[in-house]
Amino acid sequence: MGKKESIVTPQPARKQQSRFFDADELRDLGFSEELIESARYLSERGAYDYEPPYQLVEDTVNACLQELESTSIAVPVPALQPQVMWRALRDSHAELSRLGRLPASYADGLFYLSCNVRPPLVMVENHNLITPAFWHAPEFLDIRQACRVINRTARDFERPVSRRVVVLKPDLRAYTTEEICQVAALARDASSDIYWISPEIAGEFASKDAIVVGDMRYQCIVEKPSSASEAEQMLLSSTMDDPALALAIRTRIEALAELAVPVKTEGKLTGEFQELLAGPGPAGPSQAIQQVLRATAGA
Amino acid sequence: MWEKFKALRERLAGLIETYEKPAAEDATYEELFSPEFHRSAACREVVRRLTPLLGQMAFAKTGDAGEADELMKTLTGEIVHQFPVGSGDMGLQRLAMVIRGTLGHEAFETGGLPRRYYTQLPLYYLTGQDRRCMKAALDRSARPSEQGPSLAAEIAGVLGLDESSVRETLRRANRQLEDIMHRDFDQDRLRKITEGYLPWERRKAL
Repeated sequence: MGKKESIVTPQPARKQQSRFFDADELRDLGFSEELIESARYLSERGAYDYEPPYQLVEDTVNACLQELESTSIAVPVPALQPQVMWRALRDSHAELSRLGRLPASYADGLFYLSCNVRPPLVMVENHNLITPAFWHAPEFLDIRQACRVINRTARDFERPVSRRVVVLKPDLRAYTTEEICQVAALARDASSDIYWISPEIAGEFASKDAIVVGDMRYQCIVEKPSSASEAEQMLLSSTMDDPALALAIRTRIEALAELAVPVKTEGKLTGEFQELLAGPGPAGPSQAIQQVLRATAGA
Repeated sequence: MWEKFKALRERLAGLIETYEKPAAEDATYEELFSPEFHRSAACREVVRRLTPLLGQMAFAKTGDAGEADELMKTLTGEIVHQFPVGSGDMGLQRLAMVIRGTLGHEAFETGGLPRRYYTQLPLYYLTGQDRRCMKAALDRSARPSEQGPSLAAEIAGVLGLDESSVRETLRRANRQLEDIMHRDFDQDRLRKITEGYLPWERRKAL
């Protein structure tokens, strides 16, 4: 084997330093306030005194590249034969196409999950725009079925399932009893991972419904629709195939999920939600919603 | 005879390709993430460029050198494994996802760090001494000690230049960096590929 190419310039031995941040000098050198801000932050954290472990980084790069060359494929391969993978993708794709125009637009999620270890769809479901009753209308039942198909394929491929962040109404009293029961049933039946969050900390998603398909497609609803079919039309007409936008929104929705309370992960209701959302009545779900609103409001 | 001809043709094609491509250290990020660039060369170069900033982010998050070392190892492995070959101008945004996934959103988002991260993109439109000085200044950003030499003097020592020329170069390079962001990029596209962090508002000429 030939000599490995060095990725770093030789560095002096690591030593204790105490570097001094001088905003005036940076200004004098023409640095913008934007760059000075990050320099100030890193300096306050003592990050400029830290010497990265260049040799460790180089060794890691070499080891990883060697590993990738020996496996000759960059993406993690599911434990399925290529023929089986292809058939599964083809059949799932056909199933989505049969469900209608909107579910068919989620088909890119299938190709995304075959090459990425990330949720194929990431969604923000906003109760302030989409009433839970819409999910029982035929248009939304088809969307749920599309999610099921994609998530089933994701599980077959040993990939994460889709992620849905539900932005709750600001107050429990804004829900009708029927809606509370519907919210619980939706969480129980969901094939995706579910997170709940109060609109208070949902930022830009406090008044928006959004869906990102793979790393390509973005759809959203920004005005309250009067019916499920109007909501469907809004999603279709908002479709944008733009990888930059899709990736940016995906990142923001994943950040939102970090702030939210996980209600269902890995196909199971989490912790106390198992009990609270199990029964048919509104008491348990009401308590669950109330708890999430308290836990995430103004957090 | 035919085999020899084929071998010669392939060799020539290889040479032409090498000739047309910039050296990794001079390539823009878009070129490094293009499908034409060899994965391992691109990967090594991107890691080399990002190591100082990622190290600082890792330390800012952990506050402990040992933990930051471990985090750097994980980060490097993730970057190599998920290296976005062929993603062109989307490459840095894709790596930002990988970095967020390892460091956590907060560690990436605080203190104006995303702007600092995406400044890498126009930085590699600068050339020669301008880029070398800017990169060195951005990686250090603080003088060696309160009483010690200035940042410009330190960079002058590292790059074998004199202090006054480093000061001049950095002032010029900073102006050019803003020019590049506002003139060489389509503004909407730049906003999209940097999640809206670039460009920042242009300063009025002094």
